[in-house]
Amino acid sequence: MRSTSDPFSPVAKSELANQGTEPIPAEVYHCPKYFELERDAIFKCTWLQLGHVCELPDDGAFIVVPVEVAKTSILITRVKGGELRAFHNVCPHRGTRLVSDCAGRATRFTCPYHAWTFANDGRLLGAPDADNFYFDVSASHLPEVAVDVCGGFIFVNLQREPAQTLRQFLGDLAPELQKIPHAQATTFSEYTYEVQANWKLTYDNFQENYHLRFIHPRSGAAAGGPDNPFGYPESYAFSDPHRTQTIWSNPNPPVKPFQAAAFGALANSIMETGGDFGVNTYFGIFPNLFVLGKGMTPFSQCIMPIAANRTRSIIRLYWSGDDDSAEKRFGREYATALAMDIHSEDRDMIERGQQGLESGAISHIHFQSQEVLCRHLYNQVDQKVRAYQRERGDL
Amino acid sequence: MEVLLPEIFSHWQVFVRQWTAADGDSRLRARLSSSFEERERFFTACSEKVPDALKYLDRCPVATWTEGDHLLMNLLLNLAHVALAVETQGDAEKEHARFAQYMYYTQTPRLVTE
Repeated sequence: MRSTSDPFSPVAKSELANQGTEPIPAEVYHCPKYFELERDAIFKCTWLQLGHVCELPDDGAFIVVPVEVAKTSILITRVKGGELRAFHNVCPHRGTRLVSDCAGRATRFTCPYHAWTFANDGRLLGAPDADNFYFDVSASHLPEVAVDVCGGFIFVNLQREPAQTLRQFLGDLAPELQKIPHAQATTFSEYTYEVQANWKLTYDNFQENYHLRFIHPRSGAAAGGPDNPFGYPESYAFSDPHRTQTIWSNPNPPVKPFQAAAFGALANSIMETGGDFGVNTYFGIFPNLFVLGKGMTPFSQCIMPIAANRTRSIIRLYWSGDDDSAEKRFGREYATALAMDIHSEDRDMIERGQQGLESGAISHIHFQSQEVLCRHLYNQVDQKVRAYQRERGDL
Repeated sequence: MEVLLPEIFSHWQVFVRQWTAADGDSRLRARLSSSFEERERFFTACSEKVPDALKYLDRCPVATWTEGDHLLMNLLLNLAHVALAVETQGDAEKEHARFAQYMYYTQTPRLVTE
């Protein structure tokens, strides 16, 4: 094990070559047909993180999450007794979108079209003039999907009976996710942005540190140091289809006075609520979530594909305990604003990448060894797409 | 009637009109639409006293804060954004603002007052 006084050396190129060394086809980042395959091979049958338990603190709470890549909207409810349920936000009568609010409290939902009314566990409570239908209307139910929780994160699988449970899907990472500060979070700060870029290109930006010193020379100055100028991670690990990296901690980060005051305030507020400073682990959860386990920046980013060249990112910093003091409120505001500064710089570069790839000027892109997590994501996606094509008899 | 900052911070009252946006997104837009001189003036006048201002506010529970205390809190939250522009981005803020305009706050935790 490396001592903190030892000079940093990145993970050797030879140790990472088993993930592959070949160039990656550019078209997987912009081809609409490939995106359609991803939709069916991945997003319609994989556990997707769509929320956090703190959004549904008690019985009767609900949230509605658009999942454009699966052409649906998901209604998640907390029913009497505390259980979570999830449904397509669709009335089974004529397919009308049932709930228009993003979140709220309701124990019943009434379709605006013909007033069919459902309990928050999906049961039909009533349908006007039901005797005039040619089937047993009373057996109608909201179309249900699988839902489960790990580390406070709510995951949904659009298959009602998925091939794997959430625990099986997360494998070794499930117990790790339960230990990070997000698991105990009671609130969060959130910001979003849309980018004219493919979801994998968007995700890849956050899976490599190679770009940090060039794109974030100011906002990300603490990420690198004299013996680790690129801020490369200490280690990588692969837990297919997921991946992790251990973030390198700069022993002498260049912190400016105001930043020191802001993070000092945040550190004090964390100490007040039990002092959970988390872990230096980055969790890349397949297909479209990554989570940073640090207590000072308890971060998650959900990368929601919208089209082959359009993506929405939802970034959250999860906090334990309410904003009940000036110090806490101020520290959290600054940490969130700093994260947003960094993301806004990334967004521009992601969009430029998409523009270049869509030009068709290059047939392949290249990942170096320290971009191995990007390669791993591509490998996982492509394996699933090919398996789906084989199953359909397309290959 | 105009809300006044607590007396010991009354010299910051001149910044209230421009820098007390009430939510995260408005604070971001206030930063992005301000001039270099406006940000510099606000940051220079207030930044060193932030720890004192936080200590002042935390002398008592949020539930007992006066309107002036809440105004001071908002001023400090605006300063958090401006500090990033002045202290971190510096002369790159103009270019940075071009990128940041596409970002949107969708949830900011609120101060608990009960």
